[in-house]
Amino acid sequence: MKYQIQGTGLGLRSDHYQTILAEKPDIPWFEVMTDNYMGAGGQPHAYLEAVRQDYPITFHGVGLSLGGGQPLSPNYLQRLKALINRYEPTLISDHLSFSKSPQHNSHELLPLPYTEQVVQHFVERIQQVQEGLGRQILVENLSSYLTFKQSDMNEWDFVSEVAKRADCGILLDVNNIYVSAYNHGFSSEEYLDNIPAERVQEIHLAGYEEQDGYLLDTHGAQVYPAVWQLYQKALAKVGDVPTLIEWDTDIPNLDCLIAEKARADAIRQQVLELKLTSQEVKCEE
Amino acid sequence: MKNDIFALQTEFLAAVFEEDDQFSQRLNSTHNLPAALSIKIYSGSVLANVMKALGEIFPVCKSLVGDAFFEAMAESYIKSHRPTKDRLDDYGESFSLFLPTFAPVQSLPYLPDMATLEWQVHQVFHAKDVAPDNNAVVLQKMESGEVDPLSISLVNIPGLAVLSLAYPVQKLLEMYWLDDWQEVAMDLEDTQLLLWRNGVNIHSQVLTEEAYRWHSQLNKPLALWSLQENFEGFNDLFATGLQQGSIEMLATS
Repeated sequence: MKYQIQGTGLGLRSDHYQTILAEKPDIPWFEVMTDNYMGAGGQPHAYLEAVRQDYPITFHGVGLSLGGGQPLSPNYLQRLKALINRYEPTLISDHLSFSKSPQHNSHELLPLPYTEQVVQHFVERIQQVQEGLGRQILVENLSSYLTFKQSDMNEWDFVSEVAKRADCGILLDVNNIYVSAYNHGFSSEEYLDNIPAERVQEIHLAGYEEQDGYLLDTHGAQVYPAVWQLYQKALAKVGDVPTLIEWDTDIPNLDCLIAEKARADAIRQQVLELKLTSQEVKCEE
Repeated sequence: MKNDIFALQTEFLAAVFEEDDQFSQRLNSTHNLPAALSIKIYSGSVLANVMKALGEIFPVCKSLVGDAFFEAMAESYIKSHRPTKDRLDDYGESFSLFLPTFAPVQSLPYLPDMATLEWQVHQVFHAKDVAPDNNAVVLQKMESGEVDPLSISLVNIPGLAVLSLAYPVQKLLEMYWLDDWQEVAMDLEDTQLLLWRNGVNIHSQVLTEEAYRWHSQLNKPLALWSLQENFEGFNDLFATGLQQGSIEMLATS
């Protein structure tokens, strides 16, 4: 087995702790928002300990500020390492973004220009993180609402180049590709075609919100049909990688998320069976 | 070269926090996403996230003034106290000091005390856990002679806070916890309060003067024998602390 986790997982949210522990639903793995468990103890850890006894988990963070101009926070890295040692996540990920300067911490995933200089900056910092943690991390592509005049490469080339040179994995957020493609007028398909499939170790799916003239990545709705279609194409390209249904605002009951998971499972099964059949046909030729 | 990235990030964040209007010159503008709107989207998202975090740390303050008023109050606080820490959970420590300077809440003089109490609840909620059977093990060793009583120290558990408040705002906290709001007088009334967490449950208790002194001193480990000498009500204080799980016994041998 290529991965220790398979199939479609869900984000672990405090709203669902009780249901998960009481009903132990058939969910292959949970993604844990690392930043919510950086406190020393208390309720978050009590529940995470209990959930971890029954389920594999992955860690997904927003606080590394991988593109930041300041040195990586030793305190944050230390806490992250302690969490990793305690809970043994299968995968660890953060974003291709920055969030802070000495005067501000936005706690937001802010994009940077797509240039060779910024590629190199990310590569050095991702390597520092991987050395510090003693293992590979995944980096996630952003949804964005701006582009820089300074950029001189496509987003997909930027993501690919960072991942190859830093020797890290890619967490491919298919909804983010769709949102950014809509907002900035590029082709989602071209994006997918140019991502190195062998680097993609996880996929994210989520819902967005239609605004006046642009799409807002809210993680607060069901996955849209166009994103399901793009997911099919992504799976056909990258194969059977674990997929996560992300839902962070207006969180519905667990049954609703399980229904979204079932849909992702059905698409995966369909795509992978199709892929297998076409491979068999090739063999016969 | 790195300085270019650093300068861009500083400008970007200043624009997001509405302190710089030159940053948009660095951006492409399209019909659907003009540069000014792009920055506004990020500013709105940052403000909403930070306000949400404050609302989660100060839910009683939020209930007392209402959602819309709390948002205006939080926005004013965020403008004068920019978030800088790694974790959003660590933001809001000075909220109680800001409130007396926020003119629209002058009619609620107990609100700063409420914010002080809620910040401490937040600290206790996330504090380090203690092994639940630690005290029983030390007591057993002391009784069996395995540990010399003179080597025993006491200390407050990490998930504990001692507060001195001008208003009895713990009544509001309890009503919030029970979701049972009733009319309550908020007159000046010096209150010494203990907050502590057992497992996942947080408790509060109004302290006597001696109990307040006891827990204030136990912010650092003190020898059991010296506590016996210095506190007239030692037996009760010690027994209550063990029963509540608010103190931890340390054997240094």
